[in-house]
Amino acid sequence: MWQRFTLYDIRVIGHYLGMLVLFSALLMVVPFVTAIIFGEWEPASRYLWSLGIALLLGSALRFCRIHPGRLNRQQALAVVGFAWIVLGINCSIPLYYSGHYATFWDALFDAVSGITTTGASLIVDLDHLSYADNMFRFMMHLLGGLGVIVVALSLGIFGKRASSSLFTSEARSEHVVPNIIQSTYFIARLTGAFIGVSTVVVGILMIVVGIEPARAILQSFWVCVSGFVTGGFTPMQQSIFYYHAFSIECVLILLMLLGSISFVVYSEILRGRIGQFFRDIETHTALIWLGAMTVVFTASLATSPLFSDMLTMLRRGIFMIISVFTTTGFSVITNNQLTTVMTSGAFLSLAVIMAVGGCAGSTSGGIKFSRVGIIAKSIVSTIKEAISPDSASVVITFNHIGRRILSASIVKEAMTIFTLYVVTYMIGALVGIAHGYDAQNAIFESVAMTSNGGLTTGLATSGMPLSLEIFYIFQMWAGRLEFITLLALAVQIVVSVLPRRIPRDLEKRIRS
Amino acid sequence: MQKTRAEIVSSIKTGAKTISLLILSLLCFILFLDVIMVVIRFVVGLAN
Repeated sequence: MWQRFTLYDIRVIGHYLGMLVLFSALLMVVPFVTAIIFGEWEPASRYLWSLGIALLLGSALRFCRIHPGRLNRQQALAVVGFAWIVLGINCSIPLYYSGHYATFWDALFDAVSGITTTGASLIVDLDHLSYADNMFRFMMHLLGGLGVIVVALSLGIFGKRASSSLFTSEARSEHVVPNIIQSTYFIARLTGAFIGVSTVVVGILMIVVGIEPARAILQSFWVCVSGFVTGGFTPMQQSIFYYHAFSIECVLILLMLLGSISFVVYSEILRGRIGQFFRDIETHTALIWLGAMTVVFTASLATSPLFSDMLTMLRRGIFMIISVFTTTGFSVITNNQLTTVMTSGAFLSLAVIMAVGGCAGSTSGGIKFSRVGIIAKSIVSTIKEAISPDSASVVITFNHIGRRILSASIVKEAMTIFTLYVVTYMIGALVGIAHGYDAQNAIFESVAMTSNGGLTTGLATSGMPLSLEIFYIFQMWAGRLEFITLLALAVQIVVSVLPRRIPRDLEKRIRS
Repeated sequence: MQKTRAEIVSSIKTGAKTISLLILSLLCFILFLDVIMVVIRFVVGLAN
């Protein structure tokens, strides 16, 4: 029987949702302070009243229930599912009033793209956006990349009532350490360390390239946040292409790769167990998959005039491959070059690489290497069973933080998520095609939205059809939460709204 | 449980060593993709 939401559930969900909205107010303090420092008074007032709206809404929601109990799994799913919608709407308010968006939906698209670390943007005249608004865009990336719940838990927003259901509902099935709060501390500390070091390095490189120091430090912080959380927003319209600096591209390539590694693997590495990384199923899958896709990509690209000389091909090709597989969405070629100069084979290869994505438990999106590896192992297991004697029992193992036996439940979980991703990619492509767009671009765009890759062909742009825009918002949200949270929430809402059905035998007894 | 100074220094050293090794392996991975590209480009060039 499907579980319904009771009034008590709704009040508890409201309370926790309120806490998250109050927490999002904290997020707006950073751009507010940035605006004050740089003397941007219009953005400062905008963030101040947006902060006020968040505080009011959050406090009102918290009053739904003063003393909530511990969250159960059903309530946790609803809190996480709703939180990503409410935060999206809340974050879109200051963005919309910046004057850089044609409609409120465009601002909502950017807010959802920011917190889901997709990186696609419908902003107009990005190059002249204020420092405060830019800071806010990258703060959304940071919050979404780490996970709204992870950040909230690590800051103690949920106090000691922190529930592991909240953590797992946000597409984080693996605990770095057994304690949830310690796991979130670890994720936050590691991210801080990587972003801090890379900001200094990229900042120096930007100053060397000729950008003035204050701007260089800010821009390096923003691109490093975006690179490590595999987001894709950049402070300039031309993405990383704007800098024309090979040294900056090299650091960002490394940062994107570091961002695509699972936090669980990091915890093993920091304990000195580097061997775990080399034995992991994800590392093996990444090596085989990306090796094979690079062959296809290069063979197709070799005929393109843009990549006629070897060094240009290596520089741009490697950057693009790493940018799409980590689902970051940084680009060193223009949109026009992506769709017209690049061959259709290379273009579709990038879409396929983006569809699979990076490692589970990292900040990257897509199907994930672990699932692809598990499905491949399952195929091997089926073949082995077919050719082995009836009396033999086939046991397949794989390495992912220790040796594990490939069980039916692991394969089922991987297959379910894989199928949901593929179906969403297909439906998204069909929706794009139905809006009259070229099939190739529609497929690429659908994959970019669902996998949170964010590399756009120019189809997602200001003035796009509203129905398509709403569908892309839905795809970004569903892809970030890996479908299960979203589907469970949708089913529970439908079941709770539908009138109760009385069993037939009971109905007969009442009538008689 | 409080860690002693020596333990903290030792864990930082281990972490730094393994992270450097990780970065080195990622650079090797980039080199691996580069080699594939060069080889395939050469093969396609020959075929044409």
